[in-house]
Amino acid sequence: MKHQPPFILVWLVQALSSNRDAEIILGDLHEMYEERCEQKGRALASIGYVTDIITMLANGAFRKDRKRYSPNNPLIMLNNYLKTGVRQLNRQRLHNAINIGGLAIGMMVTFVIGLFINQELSFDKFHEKGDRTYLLTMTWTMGSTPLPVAAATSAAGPFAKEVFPQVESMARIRSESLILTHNGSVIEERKVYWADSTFFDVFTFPLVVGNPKHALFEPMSIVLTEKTAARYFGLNWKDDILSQSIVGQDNKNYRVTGVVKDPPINSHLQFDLLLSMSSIQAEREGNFDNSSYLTYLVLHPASHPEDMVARMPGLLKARGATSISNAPENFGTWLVESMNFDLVPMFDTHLRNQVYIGVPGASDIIYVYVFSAIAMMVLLIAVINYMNLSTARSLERSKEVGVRKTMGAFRIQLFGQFLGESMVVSFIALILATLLTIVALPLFTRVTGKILDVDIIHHPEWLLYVALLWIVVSILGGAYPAIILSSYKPALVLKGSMKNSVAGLSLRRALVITQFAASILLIISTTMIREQLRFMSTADVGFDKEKLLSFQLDSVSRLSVDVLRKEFAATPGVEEVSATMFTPVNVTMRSAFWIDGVKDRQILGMLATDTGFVSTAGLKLIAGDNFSPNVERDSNWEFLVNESAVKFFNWTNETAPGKTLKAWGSQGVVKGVVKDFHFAPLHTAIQPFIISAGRHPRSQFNYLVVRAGTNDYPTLISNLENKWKELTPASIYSFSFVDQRYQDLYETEVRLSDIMDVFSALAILIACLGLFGLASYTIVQRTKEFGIRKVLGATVLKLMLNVSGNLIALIAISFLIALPASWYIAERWLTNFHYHIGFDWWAALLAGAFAILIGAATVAWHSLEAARVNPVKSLRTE
Amino acid sequence: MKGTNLGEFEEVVLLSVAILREKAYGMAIKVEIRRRLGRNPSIGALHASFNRLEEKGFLESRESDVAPERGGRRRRYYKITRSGANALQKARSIRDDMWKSIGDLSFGFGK
Repeated sequence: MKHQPPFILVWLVQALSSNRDAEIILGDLHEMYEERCEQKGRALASIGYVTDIITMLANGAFRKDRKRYSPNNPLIMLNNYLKTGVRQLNRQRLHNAINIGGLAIGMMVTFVIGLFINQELSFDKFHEKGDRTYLLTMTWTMGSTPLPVAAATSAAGPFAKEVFPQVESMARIRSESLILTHNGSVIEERKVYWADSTFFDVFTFPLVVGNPKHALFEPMSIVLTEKTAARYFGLNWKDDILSQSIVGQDNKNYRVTGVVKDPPINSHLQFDLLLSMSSIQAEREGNFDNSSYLTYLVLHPASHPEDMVARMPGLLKARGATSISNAPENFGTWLVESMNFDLVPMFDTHLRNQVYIGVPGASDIIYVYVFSAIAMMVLLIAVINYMNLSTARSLERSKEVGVRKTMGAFRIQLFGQFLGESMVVSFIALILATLLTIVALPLFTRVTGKILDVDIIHHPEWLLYVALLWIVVSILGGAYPAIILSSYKPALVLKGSMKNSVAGLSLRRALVITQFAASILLIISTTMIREQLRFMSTADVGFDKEKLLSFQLDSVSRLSVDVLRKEFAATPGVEEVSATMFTPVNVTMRSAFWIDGVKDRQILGMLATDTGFVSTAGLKLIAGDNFSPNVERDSNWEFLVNESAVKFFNWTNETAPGKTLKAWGSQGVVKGVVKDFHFAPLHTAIQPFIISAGRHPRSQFNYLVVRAGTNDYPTLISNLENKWKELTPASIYSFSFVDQRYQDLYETEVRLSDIMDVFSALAILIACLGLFGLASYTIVQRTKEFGIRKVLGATVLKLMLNVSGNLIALIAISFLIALPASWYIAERWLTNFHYHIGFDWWAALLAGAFAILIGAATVAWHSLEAARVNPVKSLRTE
Repeated sequence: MKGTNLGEFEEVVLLSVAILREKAYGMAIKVEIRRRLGRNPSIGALHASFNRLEEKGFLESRESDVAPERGGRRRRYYKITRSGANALQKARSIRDDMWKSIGDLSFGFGK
């Protein structure tokens, strides 16, 4: 008893040997162990013990216990279930492949969409004070149309902080691009925020280097993200980053005061650089007249944001308008009167903010709903396959059920057995789906532009969701077949009086109808989205978008805008050039106008251009004249209005020219009327719009728009690029086709349509898989019938129709169900667009015909094979 | 039942059990074989052999009281059965016969 062998080895021997031998073997081993301990020490004795175990194993000295069968041992029954289950899987390969494949695809779609939804819903949740953070938005009400904007004026935030003790902290952000030089080349940084020094107080963007309290305090301080730091200072940026600085335009020197972790994917604020707000001079003046500051307030817990926003206009008025604005005359008072505020919870900015214009990275909760619905539909189709194929084949297992019941199985046991089988099948599908998801994620990212963050380590709860999905799918797919199978009466089954599995036949039909209705619904919806997209991309927008090239101006090239315009116009292949504030594709500028005695002040769409804009863009002048050639040197402006504006002011095309308009910095006369054109996406109706020309400061021009008179674009573009580089080498050359910019407006819809394409293709694929399985089964069952029919003179075609007619009728019914549903959904979706197509019945019919065709093709092969078999053969079966 | 032929190792084990009489248990048999044959059979081979011989009906076993030197475990003592004795006898007589047929010990070598 001096030495004890290692516990683990004793345990191992115990586990290996039978109960009656364990003690004897252990005893012998123990004696040898003691002996070896005496001679060689414990370590070698333990090794000896292990070798002894190995020799026991090698010689087969471990005996198994004699099996003792107990009538109450559930493990043995379970073992038997498993065996029959595996045999079942093995025997019906096609059937199971269809089930598993369909389920795997369905689950894959669910996974991908689940990840997508999870990400959408997790937006901005990482901010520690996120639940108390609000975006201060403004609604300008001047005239009849209120203009809700996400960004507030520069003074609004500080004012709120000052008057409301509920405000814990406040930070403003202004999005600007910034020109920097690096290694001698000029870089335009587009994702730059000018941010208040309280930025890191409000948001949880952890600093890797630097002090969050001071990093954005001093003027000309710059904070880089890790990615940007690596871009400018190499991978070893950590060494002495705080002593670095970056040179911008005009030799401005930005001192690096910190490095922040890259903003996570699920942040609505995405930036590469942060610049201290104190670097902007204008900010200090506290303007109340320019909405371009995203203003975030952190409120103390239990504050009432509704009360605050309600009191704000009154407080502002009391403060006195002139003190808060540098607007001329008594604009200040008027400005204050036209402002209303709102506090939008930051958690709502990504998905639930449809009202305010200009929220960065805004998405729409509707896509979360749409995609959830799609995932559920695809999964449902796959689950239905399982239900259908299992019930259809229930006859084959009826004998087993009969025998088991005779041997004393309870119904609940059989139910458990069949449900267990469906759990095994869906588990295999689950594994497969996981692999498919890994493959599909990069594709999804490419189609949607959404990078999905699969961080299973930090989100172990996802495993729970996956397990939940597994159980739900197993129960949905397995419960009904299990009920049917476990319900068989052993006497009937064993006597052989059950010839046909009529059980659930009508349900099966209903389920097939459901599957195809869902698939057809998806197909028709996809078609409608495509049609609308085609309508939009080819719509006549009222200007010649196909002929226009646009060149973006930056602060350097703006200085040379006159010479650029002249030189571009002189380039062969160029018809005309115009400098303008925006390309005609999407004019977001709004400005206030006063109209002599007609109506109150109005906020209208406005575009500042030079005199050549109308002919360059190809707008149609329908009344009055174009701008006078020398208006750009005149102190008064000239205006062209669109038809909608004429209507809005209650003018007529004849009376409009000559009217006087007062605008923000100047006034002038209306020269003519242009035909309505789409200066905004087709989602909205054409609004009143005013084009102005006059002595606009060059800083207002953001684009040079070139009208091409040639089809040789490559030569033209390279000529223009050379000229640009020659005339303004220090600026950024940024060129795009106006037509492309127009198509980019509908990016969201294009992506939606791409995703819908894939999902509806998958849906119909799974549905057809099920149909294929069902058809192949019924045909096998009816082999003999076909033989007899053939002997009696049926033709191959007639037999084929006999088989497929039924199934095709089901698809036709599902089409009739899907049609009104998709009409309803499409109409709803189309109302998103002010200019839209009507529901295209022909396209819908085509989609239905397509589904029927695919369904027919699926069953055709099998039925052809069955119908062609020589009746001698088929009648000899059994 | 398996055949009644004895393998060489089985014969050695049976003989050791016979020699040890009342004291024939696993370790004792192992020691006996080591002492007499100068070879050290592995414990695994021995136990496998016991199991086989018991199955063939050549050995029977009884279990003793607990033995402190075995970590408080019992021993399994083996005893040769009648058929085991017969098998040994048979093996020996076959060998004797064969020896007799050789005649002398020259084996035909050396001439």
